[in-house]
Amino acid sequence: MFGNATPSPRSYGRVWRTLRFRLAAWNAAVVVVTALVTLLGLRQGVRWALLHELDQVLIDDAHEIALSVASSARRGVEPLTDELMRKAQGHEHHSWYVKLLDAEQRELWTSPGSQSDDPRPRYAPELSPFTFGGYRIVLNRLPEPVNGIQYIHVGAKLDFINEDMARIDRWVFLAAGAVLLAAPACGYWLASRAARTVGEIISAASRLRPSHLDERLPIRGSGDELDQLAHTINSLLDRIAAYLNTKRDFLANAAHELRTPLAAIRSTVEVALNDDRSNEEYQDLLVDVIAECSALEALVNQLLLLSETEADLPTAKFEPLDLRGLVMKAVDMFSGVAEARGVALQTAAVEHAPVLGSAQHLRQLLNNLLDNAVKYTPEGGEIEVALVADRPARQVRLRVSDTGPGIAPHDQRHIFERFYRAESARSRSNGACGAGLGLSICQSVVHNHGGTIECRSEPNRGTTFVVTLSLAPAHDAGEPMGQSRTA
Amino acid sequence: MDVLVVEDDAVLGKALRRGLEEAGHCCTWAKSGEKALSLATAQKCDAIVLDLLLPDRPGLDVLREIRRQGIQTPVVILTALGSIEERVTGLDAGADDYLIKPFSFPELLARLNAVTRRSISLTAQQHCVGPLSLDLSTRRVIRDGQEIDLTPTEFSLLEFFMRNPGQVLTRKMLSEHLWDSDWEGVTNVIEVHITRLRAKIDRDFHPPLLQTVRGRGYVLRAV
Repeated sequence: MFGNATPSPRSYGRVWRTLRFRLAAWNAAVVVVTALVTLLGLRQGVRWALLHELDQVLIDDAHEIALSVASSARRGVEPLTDELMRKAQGHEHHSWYVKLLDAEQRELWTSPGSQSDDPRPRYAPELSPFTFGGYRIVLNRLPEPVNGIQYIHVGAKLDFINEDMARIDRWVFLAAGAVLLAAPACGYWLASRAARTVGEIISAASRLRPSHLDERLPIRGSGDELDQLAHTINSLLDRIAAYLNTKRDFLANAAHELRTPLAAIRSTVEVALNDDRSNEEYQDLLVDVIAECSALEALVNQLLLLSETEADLPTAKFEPLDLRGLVMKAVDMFSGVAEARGVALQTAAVEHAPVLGSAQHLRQLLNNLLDNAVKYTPEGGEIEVALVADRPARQVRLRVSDTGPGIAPHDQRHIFERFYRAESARSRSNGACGAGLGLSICQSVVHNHGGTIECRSEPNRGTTFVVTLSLAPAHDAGEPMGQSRTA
Repeated sequence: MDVLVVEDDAVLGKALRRGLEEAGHCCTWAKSGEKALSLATAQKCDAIVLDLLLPDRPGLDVLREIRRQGIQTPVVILTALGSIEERVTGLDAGADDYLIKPFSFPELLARLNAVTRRSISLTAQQHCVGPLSLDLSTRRVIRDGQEIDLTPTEFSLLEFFMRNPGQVLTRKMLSEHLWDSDWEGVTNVIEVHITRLRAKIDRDFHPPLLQTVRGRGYVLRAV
């Protein structure tokens, strides 16, 4: 259904798919790489520092010996070689040696422990040390040959540095090994801590059933993202539970309301079949059956309409229409029955009011409001309908007011609830009250159109319903919408 | 007229056949889509009443197949699916009218009559029922030589009756015709208008033409 990329529910259980595993793996990888880079960098740095120190010593020695060689022009070669001999013995543990070379770089004198088979190194004017055959070597050239000596060759064995490095390497390997072992374990532990709450959320959520929505996810009070997630899911659950409760009540109420006409039909037909009757008697009974069928049909249609308007009809289905036409038709429709009851049904200003909406639903809204007004206004009373297009506020206001008995304050809060019938409506003996869906339908239709409906009522003074919808932009330039405004 | 009823529900099918036969029509009853197709193509009928939810194949399929074979018999769809899209789909598939369950039998009869004679009645300008005549072009109503003054609502109501003489019209059909509204509240909004119309066309004359059919609606008929 969602293509191949979505894992099947079964694959959710695999270890490598768990958040815990992946977090641990990433954590381990990052720690190990960082540790290795640091250790290697450190090792190279130490090596460079040791070498640099040795180089400085060798360069200093080369300068010092150059001065001794220069002074040997006066003192003779003997004291020079003695001095160099002593120096070589002093540095023996570093395998330090010195060679004195002539202009052709042939050896004139060599201290003990010197490297025997070194090639003729090239002379570097800036005394830059180089490595050859395990030795670090510096070659110094005298400006003038003294006693045939032109070059001074100083060298030391690199072994001691290598030994130090080997020691360091041992520590580096130990540390790296420890990191390699510890990083995944620590990562897994950390990830487990984080994932445990997620696991609790998952297990709590998987226990939930539509019939069992009373459980809530634990909130640890840390205020972190997981707490926020749990809180969000909990409030979602609250809303779903409330919604399901309303639906359950609605279904029960609806079934109850359907039962009444159904029972009437059944008993009427049973009575009809009970005995032999004249044609007139049969007709009487069947007429009752049809009347009950009509009531049933009306109720079913109201229920369907409620579910239709509740389902948030996409506004694309709305069409531009003039509310004035609908209002006039509704008023015309009820004018007869109002007059017959001795109620004056009047219109105040009914302006052109372009709105976007469903004609069928808005008609239902108007009919329900007018029907209520006609039903509850006593003889000699008045009903006034007004429709005002408030262009600056981009609003349409529909007002239906009557001079009926009004609605008691404690009923006003509930009149838009489904199946709610005020005491006064229920006690009407003429059977004119419906199932208590009329005003819920009104509210549902108005909300579906993005508007508001409110009720103002004073006992014994009358009731006014005000519906506010948003005005649609005047779309048809050919027919000015406001031409017959009466306000 | 010959009516082919395609309906798989036994009780409803039986009621439809009986009602149609009592109204003076011939009725063939098909309980499946395949049966309906073979009947519709094999024999000539004047109208088809088609249920959309059939056991073997969707009613809309049957309808499309009938139209594909070039059969232009008027079709009235009868179904419990009542949303606007479903109506539009049905009409687009070649249906002539659409009736939503539950429906009243007089309405079905009226619609069948309408789809079989639609082309004739729409163009007629003058309607007569017994001594009563109505002229659409001059909007004059005359009975026994006397002109009767009607309000627009009354005129529209009478026109609907004159177009369907002898036909029972239910309150729902009347309120749909007058105010496009299929509102069926407890308040009987039609009754007052009927009473007024009756007072104008029947009270001072004899015999009464506009009669109440108990439990069903109203009928205009010349006795």
